[in-house]
Amino acid sequence: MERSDKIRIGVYVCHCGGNISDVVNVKRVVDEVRKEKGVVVAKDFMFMCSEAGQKLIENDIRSGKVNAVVVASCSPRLHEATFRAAIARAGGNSYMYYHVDVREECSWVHENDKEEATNKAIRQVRAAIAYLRHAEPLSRIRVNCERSVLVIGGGIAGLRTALDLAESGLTVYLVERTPFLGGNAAKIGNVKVFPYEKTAIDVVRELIERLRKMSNVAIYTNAEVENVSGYVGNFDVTIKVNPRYFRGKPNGREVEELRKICPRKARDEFSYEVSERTAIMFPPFNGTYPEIPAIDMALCDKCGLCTKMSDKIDLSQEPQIVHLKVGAIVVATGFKPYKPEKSEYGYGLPGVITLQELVGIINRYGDVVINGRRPRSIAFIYCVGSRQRRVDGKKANEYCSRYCCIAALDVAVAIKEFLKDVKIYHVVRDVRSYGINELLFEEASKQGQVIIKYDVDEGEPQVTYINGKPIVKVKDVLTEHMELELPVDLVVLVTGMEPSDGTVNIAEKLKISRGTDGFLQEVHPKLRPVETMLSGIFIAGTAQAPRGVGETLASASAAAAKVMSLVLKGYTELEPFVAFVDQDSCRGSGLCVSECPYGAIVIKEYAGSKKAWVNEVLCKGCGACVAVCPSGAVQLRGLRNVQIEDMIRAAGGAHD
Amino acid sequence: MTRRELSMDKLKRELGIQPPKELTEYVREITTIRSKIVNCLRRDGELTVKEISSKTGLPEDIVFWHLMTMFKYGLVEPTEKTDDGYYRYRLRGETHG
Amino acid sequence: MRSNISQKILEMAELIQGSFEYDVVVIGGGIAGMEASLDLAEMGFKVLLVEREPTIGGKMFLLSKVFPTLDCASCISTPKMAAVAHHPNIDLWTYSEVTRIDVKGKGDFEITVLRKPRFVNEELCTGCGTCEEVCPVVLPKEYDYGLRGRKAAYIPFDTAVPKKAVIDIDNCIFCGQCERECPAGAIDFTQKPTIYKIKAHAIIITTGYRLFPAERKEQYGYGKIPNVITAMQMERLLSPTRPFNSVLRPSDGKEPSSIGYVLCVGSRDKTVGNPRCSQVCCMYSIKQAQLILGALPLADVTIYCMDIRAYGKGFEEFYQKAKAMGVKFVRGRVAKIEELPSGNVRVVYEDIDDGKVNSAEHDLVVLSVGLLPSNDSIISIIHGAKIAVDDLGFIRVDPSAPTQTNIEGIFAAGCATGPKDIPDTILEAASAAARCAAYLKSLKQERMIPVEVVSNGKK
Repeated sequence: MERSDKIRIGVYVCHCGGNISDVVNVKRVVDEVRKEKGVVVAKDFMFMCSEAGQKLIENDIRSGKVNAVVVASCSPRLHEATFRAAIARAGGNSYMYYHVDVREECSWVHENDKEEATNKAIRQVRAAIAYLRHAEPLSRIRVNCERSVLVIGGGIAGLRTALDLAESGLTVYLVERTPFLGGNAAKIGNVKVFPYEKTAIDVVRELIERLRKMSNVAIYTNAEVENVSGYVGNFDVTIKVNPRYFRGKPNGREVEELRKICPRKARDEFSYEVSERTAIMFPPFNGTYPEIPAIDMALCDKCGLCTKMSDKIDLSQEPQIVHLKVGAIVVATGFKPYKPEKSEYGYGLPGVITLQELVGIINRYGDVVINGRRPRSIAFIYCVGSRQRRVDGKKANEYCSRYCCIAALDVAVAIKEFLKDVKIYHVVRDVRSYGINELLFEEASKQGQVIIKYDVDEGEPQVTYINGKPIVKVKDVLTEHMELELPVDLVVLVTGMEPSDGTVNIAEKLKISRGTDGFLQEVHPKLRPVETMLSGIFIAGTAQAPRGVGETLASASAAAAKVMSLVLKGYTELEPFVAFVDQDSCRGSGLCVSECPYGAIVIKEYAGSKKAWVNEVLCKGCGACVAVCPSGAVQLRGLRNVQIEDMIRAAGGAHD
Repeated sequence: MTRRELSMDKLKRELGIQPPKELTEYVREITTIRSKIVNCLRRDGELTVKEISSKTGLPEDIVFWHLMTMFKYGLVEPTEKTDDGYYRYRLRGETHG
Repeated sequence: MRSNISQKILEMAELIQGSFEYDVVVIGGGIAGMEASLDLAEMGFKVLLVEREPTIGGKMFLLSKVFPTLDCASCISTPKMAAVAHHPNIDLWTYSEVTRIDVKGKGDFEITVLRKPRFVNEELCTGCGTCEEVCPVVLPKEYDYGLRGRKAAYIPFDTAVPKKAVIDIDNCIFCGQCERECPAGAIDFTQKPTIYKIKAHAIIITTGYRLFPAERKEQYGYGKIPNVITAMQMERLLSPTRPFNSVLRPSDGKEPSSIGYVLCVGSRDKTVGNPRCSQVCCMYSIKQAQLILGALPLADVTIYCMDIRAYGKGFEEFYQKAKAMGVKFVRGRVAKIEELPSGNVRVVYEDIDDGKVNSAEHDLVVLSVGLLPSNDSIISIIHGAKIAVDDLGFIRVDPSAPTQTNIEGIFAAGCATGPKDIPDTILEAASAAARCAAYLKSLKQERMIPVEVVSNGKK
């Protein structure tokens, strides 16, 4: 670092196509900051992030005019990296740079006071200039990246991501909470998913088959992620593999006996609780993995009857702990269907079921039977658990669950083909059969299925019960708001998606933020759609947002692509904003050690005295140590105390 | 005086082409339209599309199209808006008289 | 009135000798093509991105703001465009077309690319715009959908990549002004088209969409009634690189105070051959309505619709916000649109709430047109195999292996496979990169000879 090199600051203020310049007087900002000490160049441009905008910076650096840069534009989350790269390309140091957000932090929040917004932007830029006056060149910290990935969730998204990663040569660890792979997509069973010729379960089977053949994939089922620590490229993961209590795969005769022997009963999650299972969970479908059953120890009462039927059962098995080191993590923990509350649209009464339960029935019995009989009329009520209005602090799912209109129509069309005389009504707010799924809607209309539209402002449909049969009451917009009463044999509530318990759990454990809709939050829906704010942790599938099968597969492969860009190189580079210790001032108090949440700073012996020492790869640059150090010996690289102090003064209005 | 030969002339020779007639006619037409608009503005200062149209006899949508093209190339600029939503335009950087 | 000089010049195209090899050729430089190229380049593969227009950026580049976050489209696409231009693993050929694809074998494609002459030396051109200023020919600008003019010598946009001039030779009157005035001496009419035969191991088709031609819906009067415009034209009016000084209507430059939107133009409509839903029009119309209310606070916006398909993450909330802002939603199908002597437009529609036929008058009517594929040129030039498309012309992809077409080694992503919004396009493009990478790796294992780039194809 050449301290003798004077700092020559270039300031570039972006119009952002009006997003900034409609409120902040960009030209005035440029004129004011040009007067600041150290500023040699001050320009404005329509789109700084464009090729032409970046060239402005590059040319000024190459010509030697400028060696430190301020860009005042949108949030650093979007383009801080873009400008750092432009500076590096031009031969400058990427960290002689400060990014000022005059959009999200200024023009977008002060639209009503253009004068003050401009004054604020000027102070923001002055603070950046004050920062740069004491800036020094820095380099990124290179760390080796483990060429392995942890995929959490063995549903269709997790399977697809794992396969893509494995095919690229990386080592993949796939962890699934339940005893078998497949997730929600497998539960759809034999009901075909429009417009594909394959069923979702066929896709799942194919993915599992291909994964099993890969030697670089390790699959842990009946397993949960206990703990994750470390940082991008070097995550330490602890997995708890729960015992299945089976030593191996039982043969056909044993299976037959075991199915009958267990006295404990529970609702079978795989059939959406339409049927029962015992405490012995058998592989729910052909082609799943593993083919070995597992005992639900929470349900089992250790009566021991099963052990007499098969010597493969070992009730003494203990959980195993597995420690893994991975370079990246993909969270694909999926959704759970909304469960209507008791009496919500009559739920809980016979003849009122959810769409999932209907699918469970069709798969289990190969037929549509309610109370032993085929229904002669069915009413589907849409938007149950979605597009809800927030009422008095009660939680509401305000979002649209995307998949449901299509799924309901798909099932209805299949049922009508099968039960030719059944009368089917769709009680909808909007029919969101977008894209090619419009053809489903057409087919349903051709089949004579009736669409009834209601306006939520006029009241929701009511389900009442008369003579043991449900009646749906609704005001139909399509027939002049007439109130209709539909006595039907079956009411199907088309329920939306919510983040699964696994998703909520993992979000807490890994500290992944969730959006207002409760799903995992991506950094930016367009620029960085599968990344979270935690470097190295990616998301895929319905854990991120409600979506259909095709869309889930695309998102899973996209996450794989981003992981590959990160990990295939074998190394990754961390930002240099870490703590550093001035050994001369350090008195070895140790206060920093107890304050650090990451264990990144320790006291070591140096030539007879105790001094603090920073592990740069663990340090996250949070600054807690800086705050407690009694001698001011520890500071943050790239944000030293003198820089902070000068920035505060400049932001407060002082300027030289 | 020898004029440096343009690459354009080389191409014309190579292909034996003449500038297309219809296109040249079209360019003459639009140049006439543009000068009508410019002269009108030069004479009368700030005008709306409707006013330019009635003074030059050109259809309103043609005036507007050319005006907007001139706006893109920095030849005209908008000034104030009338109550019923029409902008006035004037020539940029020229004194009016 | 255009000449056919470009045809004559094409006949003089030179075949460039040499061996040109890439891991992947990406056809189409819109957001999908750029995303796929960047992901593959980051993974270490050598990519050739071929774009037909003089600049990359596709349609997204032309948009104002994008739903539902209202980020500005340029803010998202221009840095990607810059990244593509700079990435050491990507060669970018603009103003170039793929004219033939020969499927020779497993992972073995020969792609013929025609590089059209700009008649401007790209090494010398600084993008100053002088040629454009002095050119006397004014033509309707394609990027502005005819709303205003551009010159025969032009630079597509201030933020184009590459920001170099191009001369539309068929509309050139050979006055020589551009050549005389160019301060860098970059104009060169003697440029000839060049043809390259490229060897590649995989192809990604990201040719995007074209909009439903609204004039085909004759009852709506597009092309005859000047104040009936398409949503793309409105998009241009709202974007920061807008053609007018405000949102103004084409007949007389008036700022509209009452605007009507007609949804499902060219979609959900068997009479024009497209029974499908184009998926994005409800949302883009709601977005434009919000932006119009921001730009013209006294305006009123009415959307004539059947359903509102606000299905994605954040969409429903965006829709409710528009309602709260005062955008009117009228349930009904528009039967016809008529011009009134004042220049205003009358919309005649079947009002579902009333059960009657009503009409309403607006200053300006916007047709929300649907999305159709833009890949006829690619489909017809594939030899050695036939690529599967659906009955509308979108490329068919395997649902369980996203972006995989029926031809091994050829992938497709973005609107080339079906209409979709930008987030879904980006996910599909990234997934094409992942699948393509897996495919390339499987080839390497079989061949055990590493792919080397013999030449990077520069002239």
